[in-house]
This record gives sequence, structure tokens and C-alpha cells, in this order.
Amino acid sequence: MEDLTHLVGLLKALDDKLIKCMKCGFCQAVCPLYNETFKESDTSRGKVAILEGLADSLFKNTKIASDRVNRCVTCGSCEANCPSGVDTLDIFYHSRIILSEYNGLPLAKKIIFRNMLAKPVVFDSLLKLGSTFQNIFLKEANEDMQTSCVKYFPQLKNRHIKKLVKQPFHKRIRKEVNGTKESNVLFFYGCVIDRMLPSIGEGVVKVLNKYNINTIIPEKLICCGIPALASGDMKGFTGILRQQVKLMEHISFDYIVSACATCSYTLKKIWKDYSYRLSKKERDIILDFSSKTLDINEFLINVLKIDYNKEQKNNKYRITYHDPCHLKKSLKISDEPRKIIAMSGHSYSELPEADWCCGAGGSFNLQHYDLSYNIGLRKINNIDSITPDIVASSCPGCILQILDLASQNNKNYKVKHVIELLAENM
Amino acid sequence: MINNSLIKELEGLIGQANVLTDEVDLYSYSYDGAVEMPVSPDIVLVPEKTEDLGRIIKLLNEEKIPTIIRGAGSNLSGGTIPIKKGAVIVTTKLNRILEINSNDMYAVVEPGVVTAKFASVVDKSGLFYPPDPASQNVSTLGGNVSENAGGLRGLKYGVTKDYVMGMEFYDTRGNLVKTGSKTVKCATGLNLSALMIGSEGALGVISKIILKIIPKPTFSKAMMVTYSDMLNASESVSAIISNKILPATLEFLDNFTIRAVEDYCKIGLPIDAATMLLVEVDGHYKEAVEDEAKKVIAICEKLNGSVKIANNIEEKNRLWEARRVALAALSRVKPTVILEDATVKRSVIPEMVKLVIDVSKKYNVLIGTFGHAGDGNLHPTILTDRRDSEEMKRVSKAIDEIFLKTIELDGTLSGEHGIGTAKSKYFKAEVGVSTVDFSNRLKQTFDPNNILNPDKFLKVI
Repeated sequence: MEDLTHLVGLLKALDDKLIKCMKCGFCQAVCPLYNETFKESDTSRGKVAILEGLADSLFKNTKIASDRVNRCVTCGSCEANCPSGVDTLDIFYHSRIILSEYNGLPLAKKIIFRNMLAKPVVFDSLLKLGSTFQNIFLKEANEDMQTSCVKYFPQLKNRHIKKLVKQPFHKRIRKEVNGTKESNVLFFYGCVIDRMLPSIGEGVVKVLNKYNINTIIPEKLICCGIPALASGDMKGFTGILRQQVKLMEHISFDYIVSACATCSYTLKKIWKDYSYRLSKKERDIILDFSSKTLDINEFLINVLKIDYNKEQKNNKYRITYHDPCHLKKSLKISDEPRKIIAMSGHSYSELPEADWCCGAGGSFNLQHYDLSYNIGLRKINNIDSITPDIVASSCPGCILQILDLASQNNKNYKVKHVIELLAENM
Repeated sequence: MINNSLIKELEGLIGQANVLTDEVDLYSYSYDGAVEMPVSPDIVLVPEKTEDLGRIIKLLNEEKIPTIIRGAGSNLSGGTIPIKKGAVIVTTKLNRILEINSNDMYAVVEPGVVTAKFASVVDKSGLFYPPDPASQNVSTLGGNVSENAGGLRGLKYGVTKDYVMGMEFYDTRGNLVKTGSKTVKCATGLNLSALMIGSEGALGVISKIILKIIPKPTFSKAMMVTYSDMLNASESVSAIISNKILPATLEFLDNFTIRAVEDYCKIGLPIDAATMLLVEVDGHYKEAVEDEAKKVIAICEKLNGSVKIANNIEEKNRLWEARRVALAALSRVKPTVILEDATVKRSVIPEMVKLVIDVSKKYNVLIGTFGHAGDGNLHPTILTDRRDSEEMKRVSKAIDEIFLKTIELDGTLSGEHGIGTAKSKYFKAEVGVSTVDFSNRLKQTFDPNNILNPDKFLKVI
């Protein structure tokens, strides 16, 4: 009971954020989850009400309340469309921190977030083991898309996944690519590009090289930390940040560039807002990193100001584009990737509901695969209405999700990062 | 409370997944868009087939369980708050558009179809469904009918009631009642649709609606007019209409709202203007539309209005930005927003706006007013903080005064939001005791056990 009073106290601290919700329900229109389930508790309005109920000690069972509040893709569509400016993502990350500290974090998550993600050597060795032994339980699913499905593990459902590559991106490429420009760019390649989609990383290096940018590709880089924070593990997340400081503080760079919408969002926003448990010295370094971070799309278009009009149309392929939620809704970057597609010279058709979430949502996909799949299916149906040769996007997470759905449904288009399109044309 | 055998029976009927009984889930149906006390129901039912509505309501009626029919829960009058607990039936899974007939120009829909989705499907077939309540991206057509929702196009195109050709609903015994027809004319039997529209779910359970759709106007012209004197704006509205021009939209923003909008999104609005009108004329012939636009400009300029015309779609969107963000801008001033819809004849808009300003000063509460000048439906929007109980008392007094004075001005309590829990206490003051009595006796005939949305504006003693 004393614990519950403590929980109520922590939730009361969210009051100033919760009170802004006027319960208009407009979030229903854009919530990818609600539009599959039609359950009020799946909307942000419902979750805000439940958090208010928790803060008022209305519920006997806090576990069910936590479950309802945490059932969210965290795509931020509601926040981007909220008439009264409720900071829903901020509310949900904070409530996850509060609720996981109250309910406790599952052991597996503790081990992953605190002992694996924060330790580059451990992480590296485990993934190396994984890439060696994965063939035992993977079989080829779709030759064109190079996806595999999982044997022996029914809990992984019928997912079509990308194999871990034998040689990660950071080992394939020289540590530094020298250019003539004065500024130095640290390429924060991130886990998925490194281990599953290295061709995106290679594309980034090729493009930056073409524009003569000094590019640093750190050999030791760890996870941006979003999986830990999204599970409410502030201890694990803070540990990851501390490790980032250690790994990057001695590198000299002017910009951090990421080609992953989620990493870009995490470094720019989450590192800034959730580094409050670090020491002042560490925090200042993290804030400096955060302020130097740019998504590759905005770096090319807004910083380098590359001329996206000069390329000739070849109209070789029909391209469409899926807006990653973290890029469009959280970072307001949506014109830039389209400009880069224009540079590739292919013909372009706008995807209906281009910014409707694909349903990936990181750990949401692991915990609620059926819902994640159904949300993704809406994306696949919209893609079908365009019949493209290539679906482009700007987030490895979205790309894996669309690949999974497209592969399971026997589609024959390719799924690529916009940077790959640009690199191929160079 | 609901006994276990009834829960089992309902689960058998519509599936376990569609019956919610956990206290946390129930709490998420305890509120709607109004600033009212939340009350959790005992059970929430989410049927997937319209036939199930009849079976459910029959069972609930036999057990005398108070029942709320809820669409998106976006109404602003507390109409879907289950103040007597009991059951909430949610219609959002009954969301099929059954027919769009572009030759005979009607559509048949289930009650849970979302308004904007319907309007966009109709639009793709080259036709037009005009009612556009501000909540149209989430509101359901069943909810629109039950609240007689309006929108921005009321003056020229009417409101939801003008588009209902007929419907099917279940009475409390679970029997299917049909009224109206797919024909333009229908003089067969009682016009029960007229009773069901605006009845706030207190008379029956709507399962199917036949809606009128009309040819889509092809041309439009939009303009923004600012005035330093509100009286001029009001005279312009009257003059436009007495010159036999019916603008598709004729929207109004007061100085407080103009300042809030400019503060919020910096689009270069004249913050000293007393009033802003947004006028859009539309029609099927370009020349006619341009001719009407010219007349409107002349009228407004003659009455000291400063006119800005949109020459293309981008400029039009920019002009409309001020109106589109009005609520968002106001809602950022204070955490709690109470959006009222007191409505008067358009000729008394200046008195009404003056009244709101006086009330705001008298009770020291912030009120911004915007709304539909063409049909006299204003939205005095009270900005407060529901945690401040002292201020909330003043807010409550201010609202009382606005409504009672509206009635004195020969106006009405609600233009488009309905009565619900929020305004039932003023109902008698507007319609009189014999109307209340007649309405209640009618309610008793439809719903002898008084289970449907009980004790809101209709009460059975």
C-alpha cells in the first residue's frame, strides 16, 4: 500500500502534462492501433484517462492498467495531430519509467538493456555467435527479398526476417573516409544497418564520399538506447548514455549523421530530454552530441544543400515512399527524402496514407506481433494500389517491417532506403 | 451491477472479446468530449453486426439495465457519460458503408461509419455530403444523427437532419422499426426519423441510416475580411444574405481568438481587428461564383471591412488556417477548454458577443468566441483549469448567465452539440414545462423501463 502511495505520487508529477488533454478524441483518427481494435484504451485519450485513474488510486489492479497504457506503437501520430498539444510520447515514456520501476522489469529485459546493449564487446560477440548459428533455425523464405523464416520457435510466429550478416557493416568499411571538406561527420550507423542491412551504411558512405565529406565510422558503437527507454528501463538507458560518452567523447566531429529515423529521433530528442540522471559533466557531453545530430536527409538537403533538381530523369523504376513516423511526425522531415528520391531520376508516385505507421514500433512488434502485422497489412494494401518497383523509406526499422509483410504476402517489389537509391545512381 | 449469467449470455451473443468488464477498460468509457464528471459503466459491449444491437437491447431491457449508445465519444455535451452506470454499447465496429447510389443520390450506412471517411467516399463518387462537424475525422454518423450535428456549412447546406431520408432502429423490445425511404418523397406513416434525430440515444438504437447526397459544387472563392468594429461585421453578414447570396461558409473570430491564433502560429493576422469573417462562396458555374464573390467584396468594403482574397488553393488554405487552428490556439492558453454552442438569430450576433464579453469581465474568466456567423451558432470557448475549484465556480456561473441570456435573446441552448448532462438543467427554461412533460411522456412510450440514456434531458418519473 505504501508502494501504491509512492506510485500515485510519481504519477501526480505527470499531472501538468495529463491535464492538457481535453478528451476530444481526435487521436482516434490517426492512431494505427485504434483503427485495428476500435478499443478506447488503445487511443491516447484512453491512456491519459487511465493514467489519471491510476493517479487517483481508482484501480485495484495496477498491472492491467500498466498493460493498457504500455500497449502503444509510440509512433507519435496522436501527438502530431493533437489540437491541444498534449505531449503524448513524453507522457508515455515517463509513465513507462514510473510503471516499470513500480511493477519491476522482466529479467530478460534487464539482462539485455543493462548487460548487452551497453557493452560493445559483449554485444559484438553475441551477434557474431548469432550470425554463425542462425542457419540452424532459419530457412529461406523469399529468394528475391532475401528473407528467412524461423523454425522451432512458434512464439516468433511466421515472421520473415533478414539474417544477421556474417561481417557487420563496421568491419566492411574503412574506419575513416577522407574528403576535402572541412567538417567531420561521425556516421552513427546503428544496430540494424550494422547487422542486417549493411548496404544502407555502404550507400551512406558512398554518398558522403561523393560530396567529399570526412566521414568517421567508429568501430565501437552501441545501441542508441531506445529499446531500454521504451521499456521504461531508465537505469539501463542511463547506462547506455554513459557508455556513449566513453565511446565518442574522444572523437572529433562536427556532426553526427544517422540514416535511421529512430536513431535520429532518439539522439536529437530522447538524449536531450532523458539524460537527467547523468552527472552534469556527462550530461553536457550528451547534450552536445544531441545538438550535433542530423538525419542524413536533412544533412544532405539542408546542410550540404545538394542540388536535387539537376539529375536527369531516367524513369527506370517506379518508386513510392513510406514516411517513417519518427522522421515525419517527430522530426518534421518529409520533403527532404522526396527530394533525394527525385535525384535518383526514377519516376515517383505518392503512396496513399504515406505517413500511416507501418506498425513496426520496435518492441511493440515483439510483444504484439498480430497487431503489428495487421497495421502493416494496411501499408501493404496501400502499396498494392501503386504497384511500384521499389518502396523507399528512411528507417531500417520500417524497412524490415515492410520486407516482412511483403515477403509473407509474396510481393515482388524491392524495399530500400532512399540513400541506397541515390548511391546506386552515382 | 450486472450479474454473471447476463455477462455470459452477452458474451455468447457477440463474442468474449467484444464484452469488456475490467475496471480499467470500463474507465475508458467513463467520459466523452465534455468537461463533466466521469462515471464508469458496469459493462461495455462492442457488437460487430447490426442485428446484434436488437438482441442486446432486448436482454438489457428485460434486466432493466441503463444503456448508453456511444459512437466515437466525441460529443461536447456529456451525452454519452453513463451517469446511471449500466451498459455502454459502442457502435464503432458497425462501420460499413452499405450502398452509395449516385443515380438516385442516396447512401445507406451503418451507425459507426466515421463522418469524414463517408464524406471522402462520397466525394470520390463525384457527390457531396455537406455536414462537417469539427469532430468529423472521428465522429460517427450515428452520433451525428443522434446529436443533430452541424458544422461550417449550416447556412447554405443545412445540418445532419437535412440529410436523413430514413433509418432503421431497434426499439427497447429488440424489434426492428423502419422509417423513411430511399425515395426523395415519402409520405408513408409517421416520420419517426424526425423524432430520432437529436434524441441523444434516448428513444431507440439506430442500426442503419439512409442519407441524402447532393451534386458537388465545382467552383469556390474564399476571402478573409477584418473589421475594427464588430457591428460592421454583423451588418455585413446581414447584408450579404439580404442580397440573396448564401455563402457556403461564413465564419467568425473575435479579437481574443485572433490574438490567440496569432500568438500560436504567427501567420500575420491583424491583432487589433475586432472581428474577422471568413467567407466562401461556391457553386456549379465559375461566372456565377465570381459574380457572388464580387458582390460580397463590395458589401464588406462598403461596411469598412478590409478584404483579402484567395486566388488559388494555397492562398485559400492559408486564409482558412486561422479558423482551422482556432480551437488549438485557444486550448493552449489554459489546460481546460469548455466549448459551448449557444445559438442566436444571426441579426443578434453583436448583442451575443457583447454579452459574452460582459460575462467574461463580470466573472473574471477567459472566453474566446468563434463560430458560424452565417447561422448564428457561436462557440463561446471558456478557458480555465478544472483543478482550480474557485475559478470553476465562477466558470459555472458565467455559463449559466450565457445560456439564460441566450434564451432571453430568443436563441437556443444548443446549435449542434446537444443537451446531454451539461445543459439539461436549462432545458425547461427554454422550452417550458409542458414541452418537458410532453417529451418525457413520449420517452416513456418508446422506453417504458427508462433504460436508454436515462436522466439526461428526458426523464421518466
